[in-house]
Amino acid sequence: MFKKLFIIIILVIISVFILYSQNKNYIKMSDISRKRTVALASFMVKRDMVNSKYDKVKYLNTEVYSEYMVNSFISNFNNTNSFMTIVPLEDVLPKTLFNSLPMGFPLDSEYIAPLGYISTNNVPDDVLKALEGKVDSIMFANASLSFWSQRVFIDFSIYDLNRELVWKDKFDGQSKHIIGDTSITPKTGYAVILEDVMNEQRKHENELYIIITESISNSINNMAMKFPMIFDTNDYFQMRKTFSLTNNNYAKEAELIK
Amino acid sequence: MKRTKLFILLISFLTIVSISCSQKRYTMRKLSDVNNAEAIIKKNPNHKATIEKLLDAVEHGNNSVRAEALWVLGESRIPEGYEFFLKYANDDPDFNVRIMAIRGIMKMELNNDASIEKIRIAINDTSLPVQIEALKVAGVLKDERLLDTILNSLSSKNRWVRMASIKSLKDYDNAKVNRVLSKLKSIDRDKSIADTAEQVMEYRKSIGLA
Repeated sequence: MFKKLFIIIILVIISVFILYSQNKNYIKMSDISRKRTVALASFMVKRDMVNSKYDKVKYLNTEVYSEYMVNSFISNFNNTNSFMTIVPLEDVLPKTLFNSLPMGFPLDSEYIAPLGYISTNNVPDDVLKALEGKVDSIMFANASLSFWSQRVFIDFSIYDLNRELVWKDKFDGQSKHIIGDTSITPKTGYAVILEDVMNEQRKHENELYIIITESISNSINNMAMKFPMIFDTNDYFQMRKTFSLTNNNYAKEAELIK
Repeated sequence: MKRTKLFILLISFLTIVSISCSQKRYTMRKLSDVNNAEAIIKKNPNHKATIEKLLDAVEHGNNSVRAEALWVLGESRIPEGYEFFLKYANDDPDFNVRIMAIRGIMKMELNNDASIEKIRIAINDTSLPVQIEALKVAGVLKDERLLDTILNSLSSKNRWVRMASIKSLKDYDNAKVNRVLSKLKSIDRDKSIADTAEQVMEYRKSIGLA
């Protein structure tokens, strides 16, 4: 009996270890002393929040927040670290070339692209050529957000201009803001005048903007401790183990922590 | 003397217990209550007691409970919910509740005057997600009375509202729609809007409307 239990426990530990070591994170940068500029090409956002795991209260048509999300992401990221700067692809690419890139998405697609971002996670070679000398890398990101659990997830991959993957990872952050009960004290009959409607709605919607900013900011702050792991190696798991003690010093040296 | 006191205490205790029990039976104040109700309704869409509780939740719950209860009623197309969809489509203070009410109207697919009027007002709502949801409903109802309102929202400042109005035009059998779409396709500066217009035009060609 005990033998069986022991074997099961060993198996569980091994499988957890395997799962953990097959980390989806991937970092490979040859020179960490160099500051990098990354062009953000895509930032796909989910149209509705109806995932029953995270969105116990459904929110529909959240594409209206997508532009706000991407701007919040860029400003939060750039404020948190000086090691890497994100710029929108539109700002560094000639207009005609940028306009030739795909920006539409199927009518019933689940994901959409905010204004000024492309709708695929790939770019043709001439775009990469045009970026030479302006930026070091190009970034593609998929984001999903839940107002209810107040979390944001940003899956991203960064490639060098020779299409070599340099960093693939996920930001996830939880906002500390709590959605309050924004409803007016229960009114019988709901004879609400228009002004009331507008005030209440503004209050609720402003809360949602706060949640976006907080979640993104938290996710990037959580990530700050991981930046020093940017070494010329694929053995991310081993690296994390070896250098975990000096994490803080590295972060300070690379000006990731102020 | 002691007996009377004891008796009064007992009576008041019983009253409190009965009030709290009776409230539990009729109200749904937490999201988990609505989720449980959803599970029951999925198994049996005619479960009267649960439907009554949901309708009560729509009327007396907080904003999250109201929105979720309306979602459940719409999702299962409960006929008793229709009256509530109409009631909250324009007048609820919370924009998410209004969206769910409008969505409920779409699920019922009733082209009567009351629905059309509510959708027309919702297309001009102050909140953008509400406008988009109303445009989706207008696309499903395909009612000529809504056509002018949809065409008006094509000039909205917000690109997502413009895209939603283009999409909602896809099944409208009217020559005006074709003209507007081809104009948008060629002159709109926003590439994704031009792209949406093109996709809608192609769809209309495939079903013989253009």
